[in-house]
Amino acid sequence: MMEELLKVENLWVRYESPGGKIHAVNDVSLNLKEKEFVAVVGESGAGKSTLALAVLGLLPTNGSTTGNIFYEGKEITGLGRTEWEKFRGTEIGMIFQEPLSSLNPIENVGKQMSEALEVNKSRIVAKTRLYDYSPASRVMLGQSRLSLMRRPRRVRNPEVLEWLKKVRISDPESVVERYPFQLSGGMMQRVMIAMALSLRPSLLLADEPTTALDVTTQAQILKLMKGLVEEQNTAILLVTHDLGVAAQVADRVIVMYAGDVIEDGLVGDVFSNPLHPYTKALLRCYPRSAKARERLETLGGVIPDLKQEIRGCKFAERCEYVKDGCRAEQVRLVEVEKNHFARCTLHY
Amino acid sequence: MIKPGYGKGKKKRVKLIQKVSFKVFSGETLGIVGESGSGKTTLLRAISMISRPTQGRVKLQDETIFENTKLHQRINGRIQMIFQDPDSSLNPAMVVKDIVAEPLMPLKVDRKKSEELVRVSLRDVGLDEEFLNKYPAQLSGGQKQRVSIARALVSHPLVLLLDEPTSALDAAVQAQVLNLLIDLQKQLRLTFIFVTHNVFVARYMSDRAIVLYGGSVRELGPAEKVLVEPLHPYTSTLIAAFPVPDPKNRNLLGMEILGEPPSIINPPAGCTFHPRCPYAKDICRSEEPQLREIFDDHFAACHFALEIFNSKKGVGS
Amino acid sequence: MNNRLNEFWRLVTFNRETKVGFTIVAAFMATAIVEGILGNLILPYDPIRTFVAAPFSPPSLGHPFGTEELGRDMLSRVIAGTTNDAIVSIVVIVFAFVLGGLLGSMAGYRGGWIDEVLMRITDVFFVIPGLILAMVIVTVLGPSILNLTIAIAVLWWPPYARLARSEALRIASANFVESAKLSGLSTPRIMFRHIFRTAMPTLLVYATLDIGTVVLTYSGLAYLGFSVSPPAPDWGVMVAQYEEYLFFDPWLPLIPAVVIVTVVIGFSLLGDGLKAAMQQQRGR
Repeated sequence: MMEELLKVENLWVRYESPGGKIHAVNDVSLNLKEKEFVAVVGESGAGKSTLALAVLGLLPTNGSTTGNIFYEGKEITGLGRTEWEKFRGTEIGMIFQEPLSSLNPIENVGKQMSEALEVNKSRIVAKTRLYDYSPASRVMLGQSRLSLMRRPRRVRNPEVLEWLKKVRISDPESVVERYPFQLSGGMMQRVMIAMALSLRPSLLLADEPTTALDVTTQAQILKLMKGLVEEQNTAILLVTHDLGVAAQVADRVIVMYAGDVIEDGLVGDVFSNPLHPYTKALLRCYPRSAKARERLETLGGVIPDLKQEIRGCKFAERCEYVKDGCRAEQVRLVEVEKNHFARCTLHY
Repeated sequence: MIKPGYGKGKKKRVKLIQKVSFKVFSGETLGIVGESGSGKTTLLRAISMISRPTQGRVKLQDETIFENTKLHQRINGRIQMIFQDPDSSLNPAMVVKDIVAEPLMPLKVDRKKSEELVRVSLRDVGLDEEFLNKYPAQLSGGQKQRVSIARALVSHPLVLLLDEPTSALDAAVQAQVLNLLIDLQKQLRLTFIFVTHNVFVARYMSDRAIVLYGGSVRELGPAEKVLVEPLHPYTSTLIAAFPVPDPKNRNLLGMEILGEPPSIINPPAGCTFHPRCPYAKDICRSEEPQLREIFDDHFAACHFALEIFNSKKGVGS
Repeated sequence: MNNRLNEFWRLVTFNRETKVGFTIVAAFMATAIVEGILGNLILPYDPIRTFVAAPFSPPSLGHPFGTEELGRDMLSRVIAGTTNDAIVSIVVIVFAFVLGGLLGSMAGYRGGWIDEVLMRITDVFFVIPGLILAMVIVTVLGPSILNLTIAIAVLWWPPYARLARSEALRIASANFVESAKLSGLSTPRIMFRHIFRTAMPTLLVYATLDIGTVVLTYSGLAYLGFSVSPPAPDWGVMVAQYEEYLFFDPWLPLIPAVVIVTVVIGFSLLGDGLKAAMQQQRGR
């Protein structure tokens, strides 16, 4: 029984761009235990997707990282490509926002799932068919780029139907024959989840998996994911911009802003007692049972330019509690109450 | 000003929306709530005549715009629209000044007046002079939507159709834009038809609300009734499915939502919601419920609306 | 206006390709314009006048391109020939751009029978080999620069129509077009303001790459005799005229040929560079 499944220590991620270096992730540390459901929350540009990609070693070529990532105690930062390919999918799985671009459009769903299972059973690097699209498929199929073509076997893995049932697809026999474009958004995400879980990862990363879905479908998928934590002994790291989603399913919430972790705590604590002014302000932006037409509070301003090195607190510009000390130097992440951290001078 | 509409849109034998009738009163916001496939976008496009309805009548201020497959009058900018995607709402090759001035072109406004109106419109949405010569690529999502709003309002339309105007924006920006819309409505005495899938946004913005599912109206009435104490099971489901940012209220996990939105090509018989309705009985599978007035001005299309409502309230039926 | 010039300069000096290409193209155009306006005045020798020096003289200081069979100065002839190619290629491209662009935009935007008809017409042109068609037209009308220009223009516009149509299809469903419709803008207005305008950059890049091909096509057909006859100064004609001397006095046929090739490459480089610049702009 290990304590930490995933441990990220002082991770920095930079992108090279024509306009300069983009500081996407700054000194982020986080832990994830077995069967824990953690939500990483933030608006666009907060660095949450970058964080997820970094954990999986899927950063684009212009990205560079410093820091360490440990999985089950072993260091996985800087793993070579071949090692990553053995690792991804079967240890850490991933689901993306757009299922359409993660699946091969010219093969039916059953075949793709079958192949994923086959490939990982045999783990033969050479002689597997190569698909040249999104990172997700490479994740799912655990394949190497330097593979040769091979005709896939006709036999379909019987586990495929089992997994489709596990994600509450009511008629897996017919779904299995369909092509990705014949499925609805919700159905495709279920297939993606099934495919990811069929490789039995202990950790599942999901990057905005329900953002493109209808409200009712989203509710179904979220409930499904929550249930799977128990059933499959899988921990989930969910990246989302929607505080509502985080509140409904997560055990713990990590709030990011402009590449920094600014709050980290149990979901009940963060929502009932938000420590960071950004979290507070963000919560107020959600129209709830606000009486119709009563003024909605807003958060003015925009996120800072990630290409600039900013002194002191990045949120200072927009903060209602800002003091002189906030801009002076880098603000530390402090444990304000038990297991509830915040990066703000208010709590020094 | 009343704008009654009765539209039945049909494309190649597939019924996108059916028998949708409603009135919108001057200065109010009518919220149209629905998910994908509900027909909400089709409805907006039919009202604005971007794609003509197959049947029905649309009237604006007692003048018939469209009736029985014929366009009787041109809209000429009296109805304007704001779209969901800020990126495809603005021509990337044009500057803000020209984008916002466009609705004035058919009105033959002279150049000076046009410039003045553009400036005023931009100021109304909170964008100052420096934005006049910017290209859309230089603007943020929120700013692009503001430009869209400025363009829509520059010719002083009567009605503004809004198709999920804030769904593509971050929460903080969404709040800003919603507040802006409310202010503008008061200031310019506009009538809004606001389409959204977000029940809470609908609640916040609407005076009256319509709930669409599978192309027809399921519920209609004052917003604080329809979206808070709904009559129709679908509305209740929709409200309950919404992720509320409150971990003490995990209603999402408690409920069981069945099935998928109905196929338009081959919809279920009777009430098209019946495969997913926890209260479905035999009659629901065979007979399509009509929209009936259950309470004062509050309509629902369900065979058992009153019974379900009373049982939830704990009142004997 | 200033902004446009800056944009233009930036595009043109984008990378080494465009710089080289632009230099060649600019030289070509400048020569053509000057020669066209001032005529033979700027030339060192009259291009048709015979025996200005000993015939078959190889390139030298006095005659950098040598002299030909009847003692005419080659440099003057080559420079004089610039206008033909320049005028023909510009006229053809402008015609194709305008006709193809407008027809294609309309077809893509309106769809329906206009689209069907246009598609069938362009299909016909794609099936018929262009060069043969041009030759037939010139044969019917009689060999001259004008007729050859007409012939090439007629077969040149379909690709532009196709390109414009696909751009139009892409843009026609955009929200800003619907907004324009709602505002009550007339169809022609929407077509120009939005459809054609957004399709223009793509068409322009294609046109730039294409001019070189027109030059090549015209020169080729001139070589085959479908344009003016010798001794009129025209690159393609000169290559044909001096072909027989290839092994004895190679500069005679080779210099016009090399000039043709250089101009074509120049346009090609410029077009490629522009395409890369556009992609970088759009990609961001």
